[in-house]
Amino acid sequence: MLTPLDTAHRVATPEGVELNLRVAGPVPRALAWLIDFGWRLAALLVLAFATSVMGEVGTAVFLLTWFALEWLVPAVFESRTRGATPGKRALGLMVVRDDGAPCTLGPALTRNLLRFADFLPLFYFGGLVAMLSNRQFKRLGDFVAGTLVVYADPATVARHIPPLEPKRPPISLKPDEARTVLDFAERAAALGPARATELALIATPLLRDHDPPTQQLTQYANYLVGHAAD
Amino acid sequence: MELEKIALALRPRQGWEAVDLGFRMAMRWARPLWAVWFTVFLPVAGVLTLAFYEQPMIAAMLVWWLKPLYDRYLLHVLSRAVFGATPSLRDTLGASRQILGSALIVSLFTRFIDISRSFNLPVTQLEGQRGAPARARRRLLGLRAGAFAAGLTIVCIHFEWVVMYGLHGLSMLFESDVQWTSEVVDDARPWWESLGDWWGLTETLYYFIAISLIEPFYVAGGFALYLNRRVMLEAWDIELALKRLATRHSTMLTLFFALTVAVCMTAPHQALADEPPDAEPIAQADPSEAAPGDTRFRTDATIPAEDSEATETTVQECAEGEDCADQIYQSVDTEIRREAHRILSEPAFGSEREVTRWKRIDADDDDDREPVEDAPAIFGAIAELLRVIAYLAIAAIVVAIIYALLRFWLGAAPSPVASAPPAMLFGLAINPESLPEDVPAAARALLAAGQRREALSLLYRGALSNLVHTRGMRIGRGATEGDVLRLAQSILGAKPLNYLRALINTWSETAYAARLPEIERIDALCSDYGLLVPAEVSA
Repeated sequence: MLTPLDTAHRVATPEGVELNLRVAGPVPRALAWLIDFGWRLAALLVLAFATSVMGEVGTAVFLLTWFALEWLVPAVFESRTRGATPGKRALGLMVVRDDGAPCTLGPALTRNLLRFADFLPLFYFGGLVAMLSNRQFKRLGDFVAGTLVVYADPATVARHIPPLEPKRPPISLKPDEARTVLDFAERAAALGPARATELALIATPLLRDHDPPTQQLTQYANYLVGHAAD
Repeated sequence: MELEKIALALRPRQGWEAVDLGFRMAMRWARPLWAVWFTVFLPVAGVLTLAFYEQPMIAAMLVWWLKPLYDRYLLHVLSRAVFGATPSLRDTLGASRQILGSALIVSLFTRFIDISRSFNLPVTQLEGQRGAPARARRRLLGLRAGAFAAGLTIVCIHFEWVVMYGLHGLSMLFESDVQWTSEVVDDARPWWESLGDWWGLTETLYYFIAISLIEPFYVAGGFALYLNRRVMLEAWDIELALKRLATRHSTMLTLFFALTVAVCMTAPHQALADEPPDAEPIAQADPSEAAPGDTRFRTDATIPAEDSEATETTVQECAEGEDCADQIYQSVDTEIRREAHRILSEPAFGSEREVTRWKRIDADDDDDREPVEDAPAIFGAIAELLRVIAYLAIAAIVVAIIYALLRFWLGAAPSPVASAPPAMLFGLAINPESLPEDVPAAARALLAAGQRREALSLLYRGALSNLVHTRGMRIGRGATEGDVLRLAQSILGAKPLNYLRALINTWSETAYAARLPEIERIDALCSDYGLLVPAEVSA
């Protein structure tokens, strides 16, 4: 069977840790671009008013600042710790290198200067076609700089498992199976009792006594997260 | 629903991630998708363009208006592909009646007000829902995904324009001298007739290319949002994972579980099973029972309650003062129990029947064992034979295991191959016959001839030969220089060991690092050779 389709891009680090980079596609990136474009435009308008009273020098200042805003400032944003321009941060995105390392100034500059190539022939047509034709949604600048745009938030939220008396699962669970039991206990309330029971009844090897199946799985989950058995 | 066959990695995703997955779906199944797209789209677009040759804008608008038509074919392909059954082009076209049958005309006229078009399409087309239930379903699904669905539509419209202007820009790059002229024409036509003047055949063509590129992504994005919403609402990912867990453990636990069921069926909860048979089933009836649609996407599972709201409603419906959770559980439990009863009473699980036979009145109870003795003696002999064979086999296995463990623990347990001293080590001949009588003297002679490497090699071979053949050191064929040193530690005194270490180090440098040592050093090794190999032994 084929591996199931996913947007996650797996990277193995030398320490033997496998990182799951969840690559971001054209739609959120277009929206991030729109936000960035918006604040750049606003900044330029303010700047234009401010420099209009300064005559020829003002024009020079305006043009230089414009250049910096368009090509350099985003690169500085992306090479900082969060690895994201304001637009990307708003969409929960960040730029990383292909191996998952933080983006440094060099690649950040490269990918930003090459935005010009992606813009060609008009309105980022080149970038759009590039993104739609590779699995990691890379635009041309990403290819050259060796960068990826990924979702920043690691999907680790503190679990909320309804407290019940912990009970040891009757069989030994593999790590991913244990995670499934935890997921179930966490989401059972949102599923509604009927669906939750239906799901819990699938886990036949785990069900041992006459308690409601949902309750049994939740008790195992309490055991797995290490709640005290009192 | 055949969730086991799904070709997607299931997990609850946030909105944009789901859209991204949709885009990857469009890439993954690009070939069947665009094959269907062009088969349906090209004839329509061609006919309309020819029919409205003079007013290309009208042709383009009609093509735009008919988008729900092509979308349905795309969704049909996708909805099957994600469950691992990508339909062929012929199959898809053959299913046209089913694809277009469900309220196509309605959707052609309501699409203008539906900003979540591609997200809502699966409800109509795959679940086959209509009217009020469809609206309720869309509201339920759209609670968390609606904003993303609308965003997807808006962004995709802009992507179409990006492609159109991009193609415009591309053509301008290749036109060397565009003359931009403007002239005021005395236009006597009414204003609405001149509206479409800026839109020519070229624009129509660009538009066709643009929607051909974007539309499959758009439909796939909406479909992925829809799937993701159902994954969240119905916990598809958990269902799949629990099924895998059950499969993994079922083989070894089948027996145990059968016993558990049997116990459950009989004893303490008997009272629960005695509820009236027409108790209201807990699962809501499928509102789309009679409607056409795709069975894969029917909500035939118990319909999940909306996130927390509906959970509360259900709970409120319980009689006050009672333990609501228990009550809900019991009704479900009864359902399941009754179903289990029904299944267990099927012939496959065996049945009870009454047998009448004669019994001796004066017989004791323990004559059950007697039939064995009635069997012919030959069976008894065979049984004895098999028993002996089984004992022998067990004994052989135990011996083999003990032997294997001994070999494992005592790594260097003597094996016939290792016990005969090897004639070669590291590709060097070390049997005494291959060596000269007086090794140091021969080495000195070689040294005098300027052959330092050969001299050193001779000393080393001599040392090895002494260790292996004279001192009886056991050494495997795969041993390294380090192994030799380590093994020699137990059989050599301090001085010979130091000499051996110096010799091996020098040899290693020569052989592996290609660093020839100075003549004096080799000379010293020749002189001290006696430390390791006393002259009388060597002679």
